[in-house]
Amino acid sequence: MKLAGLITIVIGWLLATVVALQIERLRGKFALVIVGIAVILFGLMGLLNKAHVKTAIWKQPRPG
Amino acid sequence: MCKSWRRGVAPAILLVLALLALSAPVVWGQAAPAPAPAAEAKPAPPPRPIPLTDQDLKGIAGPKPEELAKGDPGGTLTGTVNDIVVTDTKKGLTLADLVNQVGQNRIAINFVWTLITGFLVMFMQAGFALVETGLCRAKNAGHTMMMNFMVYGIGLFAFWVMGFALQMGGSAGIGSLGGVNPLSTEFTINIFSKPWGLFGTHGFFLTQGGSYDVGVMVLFLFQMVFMDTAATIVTGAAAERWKFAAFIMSSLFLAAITYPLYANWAWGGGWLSQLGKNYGLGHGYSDFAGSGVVHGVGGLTALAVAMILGPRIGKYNRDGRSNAIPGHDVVLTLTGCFILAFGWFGFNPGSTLGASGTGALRIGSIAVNTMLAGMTGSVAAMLYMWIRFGKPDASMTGNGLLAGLVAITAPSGFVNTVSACIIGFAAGFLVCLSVEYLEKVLKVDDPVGAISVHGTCGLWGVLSVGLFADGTSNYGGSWNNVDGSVTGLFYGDPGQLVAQLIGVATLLGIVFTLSYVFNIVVEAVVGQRVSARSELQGLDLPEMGALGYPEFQLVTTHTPSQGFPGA
Repeated sequence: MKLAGLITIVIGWLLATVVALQIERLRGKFALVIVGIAVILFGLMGLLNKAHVKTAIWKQPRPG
Repeated sequence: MCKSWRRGVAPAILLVLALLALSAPVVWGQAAPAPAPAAEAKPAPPPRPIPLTDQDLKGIAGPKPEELAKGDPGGTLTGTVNDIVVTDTKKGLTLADLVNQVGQNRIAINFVWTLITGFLVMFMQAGFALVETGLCRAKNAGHTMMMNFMVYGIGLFAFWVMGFALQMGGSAGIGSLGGVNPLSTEFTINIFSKPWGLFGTHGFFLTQGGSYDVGVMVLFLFQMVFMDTAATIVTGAAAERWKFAAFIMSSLFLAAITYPLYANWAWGGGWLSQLGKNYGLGHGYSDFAGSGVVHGVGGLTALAVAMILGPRIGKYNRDGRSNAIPGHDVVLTLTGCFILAFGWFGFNPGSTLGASGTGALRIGSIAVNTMLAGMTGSVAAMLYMWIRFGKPDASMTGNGLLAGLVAITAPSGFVNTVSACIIGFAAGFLVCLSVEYLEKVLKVDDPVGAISVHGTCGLWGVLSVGLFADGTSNYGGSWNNVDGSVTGLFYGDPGQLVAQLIGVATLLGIVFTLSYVFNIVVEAVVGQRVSARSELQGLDLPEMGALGYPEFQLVTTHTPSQGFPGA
């Protein structure tokens, strides 16, 4: 899930930059940049961070 | 009735009549319009300028030695034609000498300004150290101070070796510092036939590529202290459980690679700054003093490290509810905040890289914007905490001040004072909301609030440029190779907002990812986190070998669920 999160973040960045910059109209650029940022945030908070919280220290059984 | 007339009304009427009589020359004299003047004769053309020659300078005499020997208490005899450097004493003072002196003076003013403000920013390291140590427990004081102390040297080393070259190696043309012409090579690739500058290639070890240069030295010092600010942010979010060895590796990478790359893209002539020139998006990504470049990079790297490290033991219960872990010294914390606020007078106004020419006289406006945003940030945070939790919390108020300062950093050179107040006020609320969100929803433990102050409010600062830049600044007639002044959405240029959003996307998408990947490698090779035993004992002894407060018995006087409201 961590890898999926990282890949999603990079895809979001590509959408917000390389792809968005090819669109002629400013509104189209703006919309795609917003979509790209949303994808990045999903990858970061929805996938990557969730993977870390799953194995967080406060969820682990006490030793012994 | 006759008595009242004589006693009251009559004298009043007499008084009014007297006043009217006295004012007649003034009032009535103005009633009649003045006669139209006779048609004026056409003014004589101005005399043709007579060019100065060296001969004209011969007659200018300075104070004589016998006058100077008597002393100059009023300062009228010091700083005269005698003080101009003459290149050929046989020829005496020439026009070339005079003109060269003017140029030298301008550059000297700018050098001194940039260096002094750079020294102020360096002193912010002390501010960060005090804030972070105050917000941590006493058993970790030595370790936290040591991280903030050594990040200076570690960061400086990595930046000298390669970070500065990657960041500014292609940034020649900074006129206020004499041009820094040796920094003239930027590695560029073409993407869909547009040039994307990625990193510089001149300036390694401050000797390669002709970078042993007076202007380059000034630029290096100024840029280095900014980089170190970014590096020290991470230590706050990772405090109380970060291995010292892992901290060193992570800081080296940030100073050598992560920070310089993004800073090149924003300030070194790289692709983000050229979004205006290449794609018509305003003036390209504009970040006057580094809300994104410094605070965004630091805050998002801090997020990556905090996620990998995990929360402190005792921060969360098994049901996921968080516990407050108060710091040990609010006096240190708020003193540190004041030191940071003082240092910010170097951070923002110093980013003009000069005090003479090319719009540099805006330094006063920038300094005032900085003060106002910090003030409104602290007020907003204090009000939020007071209304929400019943008390004006000191540590969050301090963080509110910092949030306002972080947020104004990018727009400080482009906005007016009203916008500065709004930006700071919003940041003060934002930091409180962000701290709660990170702690309670994302379950990311940040002992000092660094991710919220620098990451969240840094991104807000970047966006603020795209909204509030008012188009009145003039830094040499252009910015990022686009003529005119930086202008935001509210003043008529929506393209600027899009450029800022692309900067935000790059911070989240590339800077965070790069930091995360490197720190995962460190986790695999060295391990990021100390052992549970060390963490419970406090990091001072196991990591540093000495207590921060060796003469005190450290006793816990509260349970984790007390203290901070809302826990």
